[in-house]
Amino acid sequence: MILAASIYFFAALAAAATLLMVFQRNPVKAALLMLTALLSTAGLYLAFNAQLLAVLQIILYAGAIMTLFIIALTVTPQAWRDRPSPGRARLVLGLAAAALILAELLKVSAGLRQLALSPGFAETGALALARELFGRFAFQFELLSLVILASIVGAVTLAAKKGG
Amino acid sequence: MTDPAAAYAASALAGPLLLILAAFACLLLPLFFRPLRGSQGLIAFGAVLTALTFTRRAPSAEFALFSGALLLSPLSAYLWAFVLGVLALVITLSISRPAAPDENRGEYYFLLLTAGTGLMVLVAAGDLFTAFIALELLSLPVYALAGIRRSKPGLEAAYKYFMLGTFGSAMTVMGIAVLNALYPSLAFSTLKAGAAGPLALAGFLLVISGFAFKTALVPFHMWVPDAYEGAPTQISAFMGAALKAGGVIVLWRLFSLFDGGPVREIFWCLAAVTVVTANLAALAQNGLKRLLAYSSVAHAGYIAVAFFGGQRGFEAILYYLPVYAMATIGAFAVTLALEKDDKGPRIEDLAGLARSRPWLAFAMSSFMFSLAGVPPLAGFFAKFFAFTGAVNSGYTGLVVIAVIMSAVSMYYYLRVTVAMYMTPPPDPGAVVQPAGGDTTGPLGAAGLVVGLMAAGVILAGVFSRPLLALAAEAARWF
Repeated sequence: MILAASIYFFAALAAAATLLMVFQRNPVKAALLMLTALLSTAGLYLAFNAQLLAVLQIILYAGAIMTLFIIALTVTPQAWRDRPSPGRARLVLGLAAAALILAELLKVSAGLRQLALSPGFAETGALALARELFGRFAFQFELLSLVILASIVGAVTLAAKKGG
Repeated sequence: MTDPAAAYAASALAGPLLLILAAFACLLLPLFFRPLRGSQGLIAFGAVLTALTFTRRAPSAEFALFSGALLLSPLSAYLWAFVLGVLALVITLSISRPAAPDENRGEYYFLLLTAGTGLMVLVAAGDLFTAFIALELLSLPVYALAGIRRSKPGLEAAYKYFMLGTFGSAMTVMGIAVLNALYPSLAFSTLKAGAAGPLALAGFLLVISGFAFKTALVPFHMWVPDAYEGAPTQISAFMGAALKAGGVIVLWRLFSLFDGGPVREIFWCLAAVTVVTANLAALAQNGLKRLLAYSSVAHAGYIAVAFFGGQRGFEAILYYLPVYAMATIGAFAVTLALEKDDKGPRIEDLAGLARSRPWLAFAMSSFMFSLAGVPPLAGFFAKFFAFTGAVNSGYTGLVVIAVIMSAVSMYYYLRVTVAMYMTPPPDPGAVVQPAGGDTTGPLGAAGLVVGLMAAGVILAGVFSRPLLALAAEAARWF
């Protein structure tokens, strides 16, 4: 009972926050609304008993990516003045595209119900993930560390002052 | 695993490990030892050559390492030798004409060697997940390398390439997520065993689009001309010769999962559209680097045509990759020798080259003829094998399109040669360059690369049998 209630609560909150974000003109308020949407999605995961996913959602999206957004907003003052006036044709086109995607999503989610997923796909949890990460996928995990290092070196190289 | 097998696996793995080690050496050592500054290129070159000796002839067997993440076989040995060869040539070009500012030389070789490692893992990957991570390890350094000069066109190229490349990667991840939900594992052998439902098909198409981005098949080629033009020419050569090979191998693995059906039809369309669009677009190009960029897209299309030849087609692809790499690296090396600014020479700038530097002009025309597919150069045999495989499998229509467009391509390759041999230099005084222009200066190591590649495209054509035999042996281990 309380589980169902929290699922509906978080889902409604996420949807409402997203809608408000789309129609919000002030970039910082939009970012905070997006944060609300991300956090309520994390709550939704928690209600679905996917604790690990919920924590990752908070750390990665609500934490890292939101911080990036806010920093990007503070260092680009142009973003504050940039208020595109929505043309009517663009509005209609956008709404039409949104309606189309919504219809497709509804169709797909109806089809998802009778889909046979591979066994073991539903298992989540930190322990299972760690076992996979440091067992079966140890090689890929090590490779990823190299990917991250290479991107850091690349980013620093591109951002460094010329001739410095 | 028996002892000789373990010994082979250890020796084969030493190659990529050595590259990583050398990458760190290039990045860090010169910070601590002043005398080593400026010698990063030599460190990298030595490491690549040493790694090449570790990639020795593989025993006729396939070893699956790291729970099937890496498949070591004669096929991987062949491709690794190819990758290391390309790396060695690109490093030679970078030593002769530094692509990066002096203070970034360590980072330059670090990024180049990590990209090479990524490519080696990519071509030997046994499952889609590893292939994706390897693809990122290949792409991320190349994005940075494209803009390493931090000039305006360079940064623009890097940015465009990064944006579109990330889009492609995102599609791949989406596809992999879908496939992961449907199949017990992402190994290529497992994917083959399962029957593909509509959702799996959607996943496969997403993954294929992602890799088509890297291979630069139309309509996923938008980044190519700008990236090739804005990137340092050495990196353009690497992108043309090596990046494409990685995408092609994974696309072939995905393609061969299907015996027919929509995926084949989509590949048919991709190949046809690529061959037609790229060749027509190349006709209008004036910049040499842009011309080579469109030519690289067109050659991706010819390789896609070869997919339809089945096992023979794969042999043709394995022959095609080094032959194309030789011609394209050679052409970029000539471009490098002639370039004066970031954008590279235009075709008119080649006017009178036959008189001022006959050997360079001769080499350049052999690259152009090889790319166009004129016998007896290697490019002709590559196209011949690629197309006969597809014809034998009954895809005559596709091959007809490819051959017609290949004839069209003759026009723009010939334009380069005509400019070199038949157009007089615009101003006789301009040939003997005054101070500042280095077009008549000694070529150094870049000249060595040009000479080697010219010999390569001629010899691999006249004596195509040894390379073809190697390719055929490697192809059996797919």
